Amino acid sequence: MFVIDTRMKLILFVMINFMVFGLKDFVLGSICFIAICLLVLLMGQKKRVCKYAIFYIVIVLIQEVCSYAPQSIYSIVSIFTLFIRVMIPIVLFASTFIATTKVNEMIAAMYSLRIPRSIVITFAMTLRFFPTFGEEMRNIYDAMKLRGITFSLRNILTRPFILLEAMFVPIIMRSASISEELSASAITRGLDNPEKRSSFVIFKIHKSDVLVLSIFVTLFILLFYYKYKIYGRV
Amino acid sequence: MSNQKRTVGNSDKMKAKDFITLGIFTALFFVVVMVCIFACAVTVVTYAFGPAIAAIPGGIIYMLMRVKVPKIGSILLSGVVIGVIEFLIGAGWPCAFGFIIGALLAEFISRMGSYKNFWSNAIGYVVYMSCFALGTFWPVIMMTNYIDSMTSSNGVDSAFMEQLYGFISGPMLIAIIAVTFIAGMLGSLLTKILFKKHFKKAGII
Repeated sequence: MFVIDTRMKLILFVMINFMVFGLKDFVLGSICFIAICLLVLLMGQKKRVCKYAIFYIVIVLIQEVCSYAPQSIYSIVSIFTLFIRVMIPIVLFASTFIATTKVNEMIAAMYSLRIPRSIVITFAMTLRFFPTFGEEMRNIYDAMKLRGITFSLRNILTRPFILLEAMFVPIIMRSASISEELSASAITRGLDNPEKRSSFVIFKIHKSDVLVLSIFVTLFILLFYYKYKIYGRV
Repeated sequence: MSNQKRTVGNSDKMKAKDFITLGIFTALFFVVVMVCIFACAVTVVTYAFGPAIAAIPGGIIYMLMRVKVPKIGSILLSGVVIGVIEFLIGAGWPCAFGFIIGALLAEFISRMGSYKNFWSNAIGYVVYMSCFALGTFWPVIMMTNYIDSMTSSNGVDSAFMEQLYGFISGPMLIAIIAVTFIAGMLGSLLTKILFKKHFKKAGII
């Protein structure tokens, strides 16, 4: 299995986004998808690739079957199959990105890319809060059960606003007090210090990173060149 | 103008405490929006109105954020963070751009009320959510456009396609924005009631 530098992954991600939205043509899009599949395979996510590849083939088959239907049905269905087909490569790469990148690596990468500190701190806080949110939500739901406000069909139909209120008000109160506590502890640890920060994660660009990036850049240029040749526009 | 500059001057620049508060409420906002969108994505028709439904509960959190951090750049900051997260989970760049541009507009609108006026915040929120709705729906318009150009080059049934494309980029788009607009307003008015009933008593704001 081979590891790609987090900053490389970010650059690749941006490129893949433009490639996928730019290449809606079936053949060019599929070449792009295959390239992404190979990259993800190299990163050691076989199961994920299998799952998404099968999904891709199913979507393509649905579109093919519908081409025998009347033209009007075909064009409506193909809007949605096309939408899903275009989104699959992005979602594949995104889920791989999330699975292979730790939060601290992501933050170190953002610092080394010189993204403003305000964005990095807020981003880190947001990511850090998701597990806490789940925990708090479980506690609140336990308390709701005690008062008989559960997610039953009867409650949803007869008193949806009480249900929403019982969930929303406590979580907002908790979030407010958590933010007070966290900022107190973060300020004592020197979060306001404007000096440059040292990091546990040290990035190095290896030869394999350069290789992967150059392959993708070549692919990017080639695919858009062929698109230009076929359609006469980029 | 000089009066405004005094109320939102350089003296209240954002500090670490504000970043943390914004980060936490942004996470909350994100979770609420995503839950609503995924719940709506079950059928194709409700998919388009997902942002509108998300706008009602999202309004409470957005307004609370404005009350807690009434400072320059606070809206833009949370918009950029949500945009980055949307981008990283694979929602595509139109959605991320929708958030960032919406946040930029909301920032300007809120600034007119020096971040404290309820109505300017509410209008900012509505604009923000409409931009997000546009961002989520944009790929569908692009797809239709693409299929339109594909089928018309084959010369089959292009009249029907033109009609469909016209419907999706015309009345459908207006309906989506209008519904999001109304839902956003509803959400911010709901916030006013909730603020009075709960948060002022609890001393959160």
